[in-house]
Amino acid sequence: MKSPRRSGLHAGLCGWKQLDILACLGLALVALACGNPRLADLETPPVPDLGAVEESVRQQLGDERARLDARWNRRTDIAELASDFGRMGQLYHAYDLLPPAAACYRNALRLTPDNPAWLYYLAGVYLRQGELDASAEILSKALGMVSDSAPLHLRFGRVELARARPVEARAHFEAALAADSTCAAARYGLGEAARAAGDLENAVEHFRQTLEEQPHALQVLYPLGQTLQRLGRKEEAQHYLDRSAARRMSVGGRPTCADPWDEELSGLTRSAAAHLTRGLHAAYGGRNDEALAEYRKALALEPNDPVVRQSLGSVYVATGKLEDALEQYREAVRLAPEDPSLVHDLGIVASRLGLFDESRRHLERALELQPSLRPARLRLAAVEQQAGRHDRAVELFDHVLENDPTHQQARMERAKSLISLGRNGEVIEDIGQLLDTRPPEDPAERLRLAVLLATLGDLNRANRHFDAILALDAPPSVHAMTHLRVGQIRMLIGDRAGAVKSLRTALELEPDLQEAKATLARLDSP
Amino acid sequence: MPWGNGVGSRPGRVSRSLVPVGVVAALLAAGCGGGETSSRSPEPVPLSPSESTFFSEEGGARGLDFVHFNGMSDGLFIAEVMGSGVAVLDVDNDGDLDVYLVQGALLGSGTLDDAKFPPSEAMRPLTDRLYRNDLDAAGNDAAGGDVRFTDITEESGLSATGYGMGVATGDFDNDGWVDLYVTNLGSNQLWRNRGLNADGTVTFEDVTASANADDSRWSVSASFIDFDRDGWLDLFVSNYVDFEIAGNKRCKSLTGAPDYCGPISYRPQADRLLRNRGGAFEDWSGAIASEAASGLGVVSGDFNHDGRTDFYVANDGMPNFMWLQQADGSFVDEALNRGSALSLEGMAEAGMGVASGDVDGDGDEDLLVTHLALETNTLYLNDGSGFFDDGTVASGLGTPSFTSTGFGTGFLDIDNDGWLDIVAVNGAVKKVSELVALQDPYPLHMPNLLFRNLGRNLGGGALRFEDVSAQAGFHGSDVSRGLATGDLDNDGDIDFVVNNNNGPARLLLNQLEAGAQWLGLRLVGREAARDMLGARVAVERPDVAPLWRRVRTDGGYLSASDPRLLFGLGDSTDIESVLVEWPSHQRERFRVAVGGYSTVREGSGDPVDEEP
Repeated sequence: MKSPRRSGLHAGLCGWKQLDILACLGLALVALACGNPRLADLETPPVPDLGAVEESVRQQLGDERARLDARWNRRTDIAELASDFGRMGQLYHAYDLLPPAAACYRNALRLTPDNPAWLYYLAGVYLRQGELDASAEILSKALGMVSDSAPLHLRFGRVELARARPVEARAHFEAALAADSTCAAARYGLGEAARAAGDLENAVEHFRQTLEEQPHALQVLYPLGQTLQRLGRKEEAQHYLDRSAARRMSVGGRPTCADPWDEELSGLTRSAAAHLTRGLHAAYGGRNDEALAEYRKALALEPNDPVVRQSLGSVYVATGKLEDALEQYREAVRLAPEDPSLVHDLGIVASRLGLFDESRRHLERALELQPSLRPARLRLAAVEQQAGRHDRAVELFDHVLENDPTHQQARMERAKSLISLGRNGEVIEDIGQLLDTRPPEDPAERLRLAVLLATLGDLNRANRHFDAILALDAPPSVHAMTHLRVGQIRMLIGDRAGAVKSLRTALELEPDLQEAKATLARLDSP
Repeated sequence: MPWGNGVGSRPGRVSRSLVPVGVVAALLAAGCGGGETSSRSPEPVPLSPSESTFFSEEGGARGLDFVHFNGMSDGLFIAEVMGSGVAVLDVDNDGDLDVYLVQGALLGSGTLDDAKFPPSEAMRPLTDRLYRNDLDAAGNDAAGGDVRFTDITEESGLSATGYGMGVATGDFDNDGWVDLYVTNLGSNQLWRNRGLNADGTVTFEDVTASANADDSRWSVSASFIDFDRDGWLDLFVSNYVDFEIAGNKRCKSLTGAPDYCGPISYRPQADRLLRNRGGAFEDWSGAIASEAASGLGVVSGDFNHDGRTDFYVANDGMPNFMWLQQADGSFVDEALNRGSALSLEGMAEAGMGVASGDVDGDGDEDLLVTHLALETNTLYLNDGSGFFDDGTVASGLGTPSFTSTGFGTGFLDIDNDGWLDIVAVNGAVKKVSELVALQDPYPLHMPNLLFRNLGRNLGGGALRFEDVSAQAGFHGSDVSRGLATGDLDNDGDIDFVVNNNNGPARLLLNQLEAGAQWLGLRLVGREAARDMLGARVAVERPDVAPLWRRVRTDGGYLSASDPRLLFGLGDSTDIESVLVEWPSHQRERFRVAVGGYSTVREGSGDPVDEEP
C-alpha cells in the first residue's frame, strides 16, 4: 500500500511532519465540522499515480492543486472552494482519472449543492463507470434545478437507453430538442428510442432527419440501414449500408449537440497525447484543418515524438502537401530509425514526389528491418517498375505472390513488367491458369484479366471467360462493361460487325456508357 | 485538504454514495457527537461469493499448475497483453478431457531473468503444456470422478516454444486421434496426434511443413471445420496485425503516460482459410477475399440456415466479418447487411472473443462478442434467417459488461435448465488508472462475469439474463484471456479452464447439486471415428421446443472446447428422440439414455427423410 501523499494543504492545517495525514485531516475537520458541517462532510480524493505522466500534465494538475490548497488554507469563501474542487474534478475527468474526479465533484457539490454543472459532470463519471442508477439519480437532481438544459436531457436520455427504458429516454430526447432545436444528437437519440420501442418507421424518420441536419454524422448510416432492413425496404437499406461499409474505421461521425460543459472539459487537456487523439478523430472525420491544428499543438509539446511527426506527415499527405509531409517523415525516421513502418511511410512519400533513389533506399531499409512488411515490398516493386528495372520488380512481385498467391494487384503489376520484358508467354500462362483454376470473385477483376489475355493474343481462353462473366448473376453494369470490352477487342481484330453488335448490346444495358458510344462512333466514322 | 491514496472503488463494482466515510467520518462523528456514518471502503473490495457458488476453483489442487508467462519487459509490446489460449480435448481417447495450455515466451532481447516477471523454475523450459486428466474410470457416470492432472508435455513430444497465442483442435487426418493447431506470434504449428506409444503415452509430431499449414503472421484464433463437406476438416486462421518487435510503436494515455498501443497503431492482417485435401492443406484464402482486418475470435456455424458452413470473425476496432458460404463454395461477408458487424449505434467495436449458440431457444445460432470496457459485450440475436438484432441492453447484458474488457466467452448451461448461460472472462489491455494508483505491478486485472439465462419468462417475453458473477466462485480478479469449456470430471455439468495472462491457469469445477437432468452426446463419423464438428443436434421433447446445439470446438478466444454436447434437461427425463443433422446433410434419429454420455455414430440411427 502506497503511503498517502502530503500537500501544502495538510501542512497548512496541522504541519504534516508531526502527524499522520488522516489523523491530521480528521482532527482538522473535527474542529471545522463543529463550525461548518459542509466542510466536515468533505471526502479525501484519491491521488492518481502521476509518476509517468507528461510534464505539461503534471504541471497543470500541480498548479490546480496548489490553487485548491491555498483556497483551503484561507477557507474564507465556501463558493470559491467549491468552484476549485469542481475545477480540480474537471481536470481529473478530462484526463480520464475518474475516481479522484468523482471525489472532487462530490466535494464541490457538498459545498454548493445547487450547481448543475458539477452534477452533470459527476453523472458523466458514473455513466463511464457503468453506474447507471447513480447517474440517473444525479441527473434527475440537476434537472430539478435547470429543467431546460439540452445537455442534461441528452445525457439522461442516453442513460435511460442504457437502462432499457426507451419511453423515458424519448421524453428526455424530446426535451433536449425543445431546448435546442439544432441538437442532432437528441434527434438521433429519438431514433434509437423509437427503434428500441419497436417503432421502426419513426426510427427511420429520426435517423434520416439526423443525417439531413448533420451530413457528417456517418455513424447514423448503419442503424438507419439496419432499421430499413427490418422494415423490408431492402433497396433503401442497401444504399445506407453501402455508404456505411465505406467507413472501415469507426472514428468520429457521431451526431453532435452544442454542449458548453463538455466543450469546457475537452478544452482542458493539454497533453500531446490528448492533442494527438483529438487530431486523429478530426482526421478520420475528414476535418484536416482541425487535425493539423491539433497535431501542431502536440508537436509544440513533444517535438521529439516520432508519432507526432508521423501524424502530422499523414495529414500533409492527405492534403497534398507532400513536401511538408516529407520533412515530417524524415524527422520521424531520424527520431526512430529502427521503426520499419515509419521508414516505409517515408519511402512512400519520397516515391510520390518522384525521389525514386531515396524511396528505394528507405523501402529496402524497411524490408531489412521487417522482411514481412508486404506493402514495402509492393511499393518497392512499383518504384523499380517506374525506374524501368523490370527484372527486379518481377522478383519482388514473385516474393509477394509466393506468400499470397491471391494478391491480384501484385499479379497484374508483375504481368506489366513481364510484358515490358517481352515475356508475354509467361503472362499468358500465369493469368490463364489463374482464370481457369481460381477465377477472382469480383467480376470486374475477372474481366480485367480476361481482357489482358485477349490483348496478349489468347483469344480463345479470353472468350471463354467473357462468356463465363456474362453468365454470372451480376449487375447490368458488369455485363455492359464486358460487352464493351468484347466489342473493343473485336474491333482490334477487324471483326467490325461483331464489334458493333457487342457495343450496341452494351449500350442497351447501360445507355450512358460513354466509352461504348465513343467506340461505336469510331467504328461508324469513315 | 489531504489527498488520499489509491482507488475509491473497484471499477464498476462498488456502489457510490455522496456520504463521506472511513477514518474522517469516524473522527468527525466522535468529535461532534452526531450524524450517521456509512461504510465506504477506500480499498478494492474482493469479490465475496455467497456460501453457495456455481463453481469452485481447483486448478492448483488438481495438478493444473500452469502459470502463463507473457514475456514482458519495459517495451509495452502489444503482444504481451493478448495471450494466451487453452484447449480441453481428449488426446488419449480415454473418455476424459485433458488440458492444453498455451505459453508465451520472452519478447525482445535479454534472458528470461531480465523479464519483468520471470517464469518460475517449474515453468522452465517455457513451452505449451499438455496435462493428462487421470480421472478414474468411475468418472464416466453421473456421479463424476476425482479429476487430477499430470503434466505429460515432455513425453508427448510436444515442443511448442514459440510465442504462443491460441490453439484449435480437430482430427485433421481422420485417424481417430485429435490433433492440435497452435497459433503464434510468428510461425504456427500443426501437431499430429500419433496415438498411444508402447508405454501407453500419447505422442505428437510436428507436421506443419508437410501439411502446408503454416502462417508466419501473427495468428490468433483458429477453427477446424469441414466447410466443403468432403470429409476432411479444413482450417480457418484469424490473423491480427503486423506487429513485430522491431516495429514496436510507443503509445501513451491521455496524460501522456506510456501505455499499450491498440491495433489501430499497426496494419491489420488478412485471415487465412486452409482447405484440407486429404491430410494436407491448400491455401484457399482467396475464397474469403483476403480482406485485411484485425481479427481475433472466430467461430463457424450456419448463420443463415442454408445448410452451408459460415464463419464469423470478431475484429478488433473494425467491423466484424460474417463470411456466408455461397453455393459455389466461395464466401461473401454479409455482416454489415445482416446487423452483426457493428454496435447498435453503428460503431465498430473492439471484438475479442465470440460465442455462438441458440441462446434464446428458437433453433438458430445467436452470437455474443466480447469487447473493450466502455463498449459492452454485444449479443446478436438471430431472427432465423441470418439477420441479427442487438439484444444486449434489452437482455440485461449491457450494464454489467460496460466496465469490463472481455476476451474468452462461451454459451454454456451452468445449471442444466436447458437455457444457455454466458461466461465472459476479462482483463484490460491498457493500464487501469485505479490500479496504477495502487502501484499494482500488472494493473490490468478485472473480475470475470457470469450471467444466468432466465429465458423469456420475464419482462414481457424478452430474453433476460441475471448477473450472477458474485456467486460464480471466480478466483478474485485476473488478466483472463483464453477460456475452454467442457465436462472435465464427467459428472454431467459444465466446467471450464481459464488461461490468465501473466498468471496461473484456473480450473473452475461446476458445483451443481445432482438433481437437474442431463444428457451427454459424442458424435462420431461413419468413415472416420472422429468428432463430427459442425453436426447439429436437437433433443426433441414432448410439448416443449427442441434443444438445438452444434458440435464444435471453436469459438471463444484463442481456445478450443469439448466437442461433446451436454444438454441440460431441467427436472424432466422425458425426451422423445435425438435428431442429428450430420455435416453430410444426412439426418438421423436416435434413442439415447438420459443421465450419461452416449456415443452416436453416423449411419447407425433411423434415417429421416423430411426436410428440416
